[in-house]
Amino acid sequence: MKKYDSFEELDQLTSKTLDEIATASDLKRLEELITSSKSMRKRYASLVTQESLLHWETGRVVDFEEETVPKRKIINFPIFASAAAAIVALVSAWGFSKQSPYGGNTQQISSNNSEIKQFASMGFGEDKEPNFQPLPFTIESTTFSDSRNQSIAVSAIELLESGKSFDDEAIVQIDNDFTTWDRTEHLTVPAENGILPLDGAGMIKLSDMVVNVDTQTASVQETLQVVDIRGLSPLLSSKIDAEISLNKGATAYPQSTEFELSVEALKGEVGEDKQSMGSTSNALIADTDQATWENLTSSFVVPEGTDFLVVSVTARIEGPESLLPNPSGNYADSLRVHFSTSAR
Amino acid sequence: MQPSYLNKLAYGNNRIDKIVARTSIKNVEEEAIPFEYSRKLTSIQRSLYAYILSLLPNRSDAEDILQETNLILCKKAKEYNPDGHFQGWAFRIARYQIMAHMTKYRRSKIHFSNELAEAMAEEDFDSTSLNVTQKALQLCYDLLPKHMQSIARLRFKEEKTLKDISSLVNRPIGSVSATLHRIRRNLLHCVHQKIPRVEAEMDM
Repeated sequence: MKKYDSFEELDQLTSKTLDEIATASDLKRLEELITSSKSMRKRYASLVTQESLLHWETGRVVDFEEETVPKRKIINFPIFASAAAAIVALVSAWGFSKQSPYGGNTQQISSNNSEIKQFASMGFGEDKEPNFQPLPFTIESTTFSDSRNQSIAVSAIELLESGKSFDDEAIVQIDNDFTTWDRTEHLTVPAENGILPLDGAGMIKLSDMVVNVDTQTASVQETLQVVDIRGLSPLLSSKIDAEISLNKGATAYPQSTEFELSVEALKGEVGEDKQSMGSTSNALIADTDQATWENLTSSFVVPEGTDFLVVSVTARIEGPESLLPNPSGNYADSLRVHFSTSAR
Repeated sequence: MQPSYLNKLAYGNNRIDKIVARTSIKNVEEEAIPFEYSRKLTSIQRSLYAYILSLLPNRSDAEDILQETNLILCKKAKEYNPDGHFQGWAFRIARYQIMAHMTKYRRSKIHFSNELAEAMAEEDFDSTSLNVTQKALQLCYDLLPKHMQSIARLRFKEEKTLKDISSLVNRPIGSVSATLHRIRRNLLHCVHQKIPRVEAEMDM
């Protein structure tokens, strides 16, 4: 019993430490327990190993649903979407509303409520309504490789649908027939990791890559711009030309990084799910010379009926080297999106 | 965007970064890492990270040390004796980096003492058994009660802090902490029970 009680204390202190809420006296007591016996040390090592597996093995251990995604094809002038090998995204816990985001869907929220009520019944306090904010709609597309990036795109579209002209996470530019939600400014960093901006004093830094140990891939996708073209006359046809420069920071070991620039056309009613009307993407393998930026372009004849265009960039490493840490960063600069129209 | 004077400072520092980076790349390019060495290095990453995390339980610090250790291991590829014990060698290098880090940040951060670094044994983080542990962990994770699964996802997959999770689920930090504690214990107990079965299935 004493051993179990000691494990209980060790487990509690270890848990607090791993959640980074332990005090100095907690750490001191934990160290005393760890060094008191071999079994304590082994118990601690087991907990930490488990923790590292839970955080590291994001593609396998933590996800509930696994999807087999066909291997990605690189095509230069496609109209329709290409499949991408990527980390499985889990968004179901947030639920989706089929109604206007301002009305909400009580049925969806109720299913989340039952989860929280069950949690509350364990005796953690009064029965309060949860503070979940489910996504108002989904984007049915294989282009989005992770739930984080899809959430960003959904938020952008939701803001554009609301008619707001400001956002904490992006700049909203209103032109005559279309509105652009542009996140590049908010991702801008100065020179770092051996890279100087190509243009001006800042460059776009992509978020950290997420590793999938099973598929041996590391990737990150960033939505950079969303263009609302619902105001465009149906008598006009349109084309989008996107261009971006890319670079990667220095690493001590060889890592072949592939960059991809993609544009996707989406359609859907306000507050409703969005369907893909088609997409285009272009890719390259980055060199290891931080002094040079590589250029990617992508052109796309916008399908009739399109409501939104999403411009995103992806960085991806495949193979065993994807499992090695990649703290050097992936960068983009000089994103230029040119939208042109002509009579049908 | 930072003010322009900070950009100039970054540019100044960056020139040193560029030199260091190019030196590193040059070293690696001139002395290509043998495939077998690279394979061994990849195979111990999880256990190496777990070892570092056990002594530096701040994930950001642990990732920094892992990077530094990998950098040194790559640079020292030629010094490695293929007949030697690779994991032991790698862990020793990691321990030196950890202790240097502890000494450097002794005053500014709370952390374990150097004595713990001497006490933690390499065999407690055996990389050869991690595959079995991983499979058992996956089985056990799926068996977690639903209300625990959402907290686990927020912490382990979405890497939210306890403060963020507390806001999202509308529960005090203390209760979130208590739930995470129970999740970890449940998983550990379950994995311990599942390992014999998983081992038997993997042997078949």
